[in-house]
Amino acid sequence: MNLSPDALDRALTELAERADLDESVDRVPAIHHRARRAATVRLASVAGALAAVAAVVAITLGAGGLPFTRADSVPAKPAPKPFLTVGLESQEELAAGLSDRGLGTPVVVQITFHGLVPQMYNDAGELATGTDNLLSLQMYWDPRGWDGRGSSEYHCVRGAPLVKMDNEFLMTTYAFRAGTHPITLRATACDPVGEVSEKLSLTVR
Amino acid sequence: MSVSPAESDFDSYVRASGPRLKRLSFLLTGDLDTAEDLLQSAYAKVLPRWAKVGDYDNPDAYMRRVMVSIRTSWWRRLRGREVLTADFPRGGVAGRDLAVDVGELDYLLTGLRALPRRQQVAVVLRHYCDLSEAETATVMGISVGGVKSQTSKGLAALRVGHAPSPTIEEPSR
Repeated sequence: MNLSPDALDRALTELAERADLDESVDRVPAIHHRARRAATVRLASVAGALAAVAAVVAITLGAGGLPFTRADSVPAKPAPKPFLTVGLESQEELAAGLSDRGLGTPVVVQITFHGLVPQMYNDAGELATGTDNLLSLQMYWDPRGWDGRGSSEYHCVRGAPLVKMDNEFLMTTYAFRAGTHPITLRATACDPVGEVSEKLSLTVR
Repeated sequence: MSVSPAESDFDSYVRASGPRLKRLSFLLTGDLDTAEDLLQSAYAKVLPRWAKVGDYDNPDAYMRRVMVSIRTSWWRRLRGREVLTADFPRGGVAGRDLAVDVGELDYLLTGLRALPRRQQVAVVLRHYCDLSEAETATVMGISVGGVKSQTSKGLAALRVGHAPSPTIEEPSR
């Protein structure tokens, strides 16, 4: 027998059935939890944007009254400044829903990226999206090593426009021993943002 | 907290579709925990749109698109618990009786996991979900030509047991 389409179809079907071994957990509560968290992050982003607008309006009013009544003194719109913030948060509720599998204690970490970073491009001039607009992205699981990437297929371009970055991910790993596990996230965006990092100390019982 | 009829309907859909979509998720990810993660992420994305998606003739098709989208976007960059094996089966899976030998299924699983994302997704959608090239192109958001190319490359890699080396350093385990 060879890897004919029929043989592959059958083999994939048999392989997929291995997933049936893992169907004991009711995933519905975890899904609602994830959806609520995503909604909270979206609301926080909108609130942040509204706060920024309110601040600009307040500064404008403080500088000389309503802009539409003083056409001769309308201040130039301040250029948005590039920035990047990253967040790490332990998700114990989600981790509790994962099984050990002999790999250690499951640990789930939520990673968030929020910022305004320079657009990156590849050699074909195509635009990067999401976290592809980062030069590097690394998660250090001390002392096990790191995941992520150290380089990008996209590159920085001088004078590139700024693009919003609002992403959140969940990562899972397994802790081999009880105790404190330091985790560090490092992300690098094009200049002038540079590298930002965030640390989290996970306690595994 | 009260549960709306839409949420109740969504919960029923999750419980009914979970097993079959978990199978697809497993083929897309190669391990059970990551498959569960992908599946839950996809459901969580669909939940806010359920009032609309729930009326679709085939909500699974929408779920497939979401799963593939998640799989080919951020997980290609951040692969926390995936283990990209360095032991891809030399000699590939060609010439082996895949359908009857559990060991050979392991070879296939290893081969699938070693494929680049788009090749892996194309092979699974075409040969497990039995989608046409046009349907696969819609799900993946690429051209029909792209589907042909990715599927062909994926199958070739599975046959010869050669896949590109992983580009991400793995944690020592």
